[in-house]
Amino acid sequence: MATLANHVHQRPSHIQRLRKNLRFEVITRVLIRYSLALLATFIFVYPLIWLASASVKPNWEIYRQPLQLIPSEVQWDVYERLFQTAPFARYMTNSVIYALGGSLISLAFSILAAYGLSRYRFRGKRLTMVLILTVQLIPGLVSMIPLYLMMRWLGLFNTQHGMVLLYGSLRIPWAIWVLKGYFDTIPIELDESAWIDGASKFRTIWQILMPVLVPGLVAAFIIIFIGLWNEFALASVLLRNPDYLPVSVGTYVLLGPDESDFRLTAAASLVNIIPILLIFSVLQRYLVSGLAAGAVKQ
Amino acid sequence: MITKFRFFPPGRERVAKPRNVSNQRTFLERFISGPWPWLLPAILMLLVFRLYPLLSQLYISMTDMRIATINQANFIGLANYEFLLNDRAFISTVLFTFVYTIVGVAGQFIIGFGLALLLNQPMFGRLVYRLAILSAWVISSLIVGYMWRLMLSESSAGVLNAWLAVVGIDRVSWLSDLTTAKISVIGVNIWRSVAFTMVFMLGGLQTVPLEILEAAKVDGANAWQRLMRVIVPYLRPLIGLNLIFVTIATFNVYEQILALTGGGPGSATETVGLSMFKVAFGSSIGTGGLGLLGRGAAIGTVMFIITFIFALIYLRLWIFTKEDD
Repeated sequence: MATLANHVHQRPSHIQRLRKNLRFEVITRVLIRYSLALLATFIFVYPLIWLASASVKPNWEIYRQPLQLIPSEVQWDVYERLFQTAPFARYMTNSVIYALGGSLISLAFSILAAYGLSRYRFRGKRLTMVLILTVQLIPGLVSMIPLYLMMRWLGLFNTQHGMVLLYGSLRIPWAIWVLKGYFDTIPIELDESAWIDGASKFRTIWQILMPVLVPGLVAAFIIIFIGLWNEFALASVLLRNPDYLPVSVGTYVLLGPDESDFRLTAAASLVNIIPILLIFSVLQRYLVSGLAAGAVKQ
Repeated sequence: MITKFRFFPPGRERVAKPRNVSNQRTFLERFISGPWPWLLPAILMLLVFRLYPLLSQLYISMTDMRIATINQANFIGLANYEFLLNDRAFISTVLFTFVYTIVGVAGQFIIGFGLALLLNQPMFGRLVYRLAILSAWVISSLIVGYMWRLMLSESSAGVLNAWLAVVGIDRVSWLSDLTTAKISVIGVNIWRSVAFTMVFMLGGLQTVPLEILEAAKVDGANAWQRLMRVIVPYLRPLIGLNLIFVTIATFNVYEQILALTGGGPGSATETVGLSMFKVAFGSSIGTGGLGLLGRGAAIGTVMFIITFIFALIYLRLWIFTKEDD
């Protein structure tokens, strides 16, 4: 009896202690979680903020320690240098042309191919899919030299339309895989109802499937666009005319492998990044879902 | 009278296909009504811009083609490959590229997956953290290189050294010392690839059925066991896919190192991609190259073969473990 009474007596304090421990554990866990998340955010965002600050600081302040993020005085002269002395406006226009043209070509070709792969069953389909993926896995960089020779031979070397065409081909395999995933999620009944009403297959795609696909298309478009905007290797070899350079190559032409002007390097880097960050912040919802879909829906 | 019903299970088989018709149609008719016209434009693009260059590279790599004398190339067999095999600098470049790839891929995967697990937890401002981290991924690798060249600068403007000074650590020569330059180059690449893996794995984590996790919890599995025994096996295909992308991207890295160190000091941080460019085009974009297209193509072929082996390993790991789609 006594032992039982003891137990009865002990129980509440025991549970209390457990609760206390639990609360302590939960609080530390939450603390750790938030501090890790904040640390990671800091590591990834700080360089950008620092870069922005360095590009507008007066020169002497860059070399001053301790470091201060907020400049004592804002100077825009390096940006003036970029856009007035160096043709960065021209470079940016070129980048938009190449990235936009390339993305639209890739999407147009990939929509057709993804439709074929999603809506037909045929012999060799699996093999085709695997081959397409294999092509995607081999980066364009490894065939840089033959590409250079081929573009010269086709008369596409150092031309803007050649660049758009080449960029259009770069992401096709990836886009086919992603878009096929999206097509697969649309029930074929939707196609059939359109066929019964007498729509052709093109019309079915254009009027029935495309509206459903818009989020997926936007996602694919953004990812392709960002990739092409950032492309450097091919453009640096295939373009010679300074008027045709995209902003990535333009930056390299300006800065070279060992430019030591801190502020100029910072400003030129930011000019490359800002348009992409703007697109990203406006359309991030699609970007995240697109990346995830490209990964999961296969 | 009872009308005969045929029950079609939901699925793609419902596309009606009249019997015995295909035999009477010509090959062309069958071709046109099949899937290939849809695929043809994309396949043509890929043949011209991706496959043909790969094949013709084999031939170019066996010539002594130079940029100055493109039309007078002589067939020289495997001499370019022989040269590369006997070239100490090239061999050490290949070795460094392997180290760079293996350490980089492992590092970014561990950190990226860790961040995905962290930011998959319910917490305040989760989306903000995710987006902040992802913003690093949309920056081009050339600019990542330039940005970190500034951050790692050894002058008093270099921010990393400034931070270390606060903690009381002496100035580190991040980019001019042989060993630290290698570490820096690998670290910067990890910084860049983490975000991609994070988003990729977050997408995957959201597909893990909660029931399995609950069941594991009920069975007394702790967080680590749930991760290793439930989540990782469930996401295995996705992990494989992630590793394909990142390994191949890392192995073929070029502009990031071009901007960060230019391959230096010496050629300590030169990767295979960078040395291909230096050999073939270097002088024309200002890195002091030789214009040797033939030898460059041989390096390109080596890169292709190694990349292709990676691709095959992963394709096997991933595609063939999946059931038919």
